[in-house]
Amino acid sequence: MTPDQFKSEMISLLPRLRRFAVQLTSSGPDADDLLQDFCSAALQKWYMYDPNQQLDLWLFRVARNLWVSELRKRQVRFGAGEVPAEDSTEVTTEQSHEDLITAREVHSRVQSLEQDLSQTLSLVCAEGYSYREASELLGIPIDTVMSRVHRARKLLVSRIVAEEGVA
Amino acid sequence: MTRDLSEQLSAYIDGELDQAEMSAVAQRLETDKNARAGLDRLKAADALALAMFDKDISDPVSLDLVKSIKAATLETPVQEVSRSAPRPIWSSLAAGLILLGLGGVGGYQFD
Repeated sequence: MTPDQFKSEMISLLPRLRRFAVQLTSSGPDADDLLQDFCSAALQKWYMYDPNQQLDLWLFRVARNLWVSELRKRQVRFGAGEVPAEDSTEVTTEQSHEDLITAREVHSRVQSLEQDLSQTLSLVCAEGYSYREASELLGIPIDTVMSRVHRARKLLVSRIVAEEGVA
Repeated sequence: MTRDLSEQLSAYIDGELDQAEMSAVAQRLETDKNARAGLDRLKAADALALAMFDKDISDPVSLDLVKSIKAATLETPVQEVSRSAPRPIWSSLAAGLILLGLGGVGGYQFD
């Protein structure tokens, strides 16, 4: 594949790549930043692309790796701002502290669960990837892909049913 | 079959069951009204999902990004030139012998 062919195919894939970026980040501005960053990374690493594999899958993988690395950096950045419990000057009862942790955990679990489901469903349902391709792309077992796709559909079914119930 | 019917139907939509399971589900769908209703609900969920995902794809991509990709110069890194192989031991020995010979001849001439 020539450099011009690579660039031209990459441009034609941009809408799908942006959609994947939206799925990964759950945020429009973050998605645009990610798209910009991974396009730049892909152009730099283009010589590593094996023309025997699908370019879209390769680009999706570059995007996902970049996003995972960005998330790690953010964890370190935000983690650095935390104050050790013994240094805390705020007076909190044990109960309220527990409540806070539980609320955070629940919030993060719900958020991450929905995002995982949505990402997986998007790859299978919208991108048309097989369970194997989606599993390789997301770095999860095929059974997990199957289960996530199913749970995502069930969740949507329950939303449809709820909306029909309201109407 | 350890998967529940709903999960089977979901994988059936994606054509991800093995041949035996695909046939079994297809057969069940012919006779089981509830299974057919379940399949229809999952398909309706797919339609909703596709509408959601298509919304994301219809958002315009930055024209600046397209321009920057077009303008990019793609480079293939030049492979590091491998260091020349070390000279074989015999070449060092030969060089040493020549120097010794020259030294001997020189010494003889100045005597």
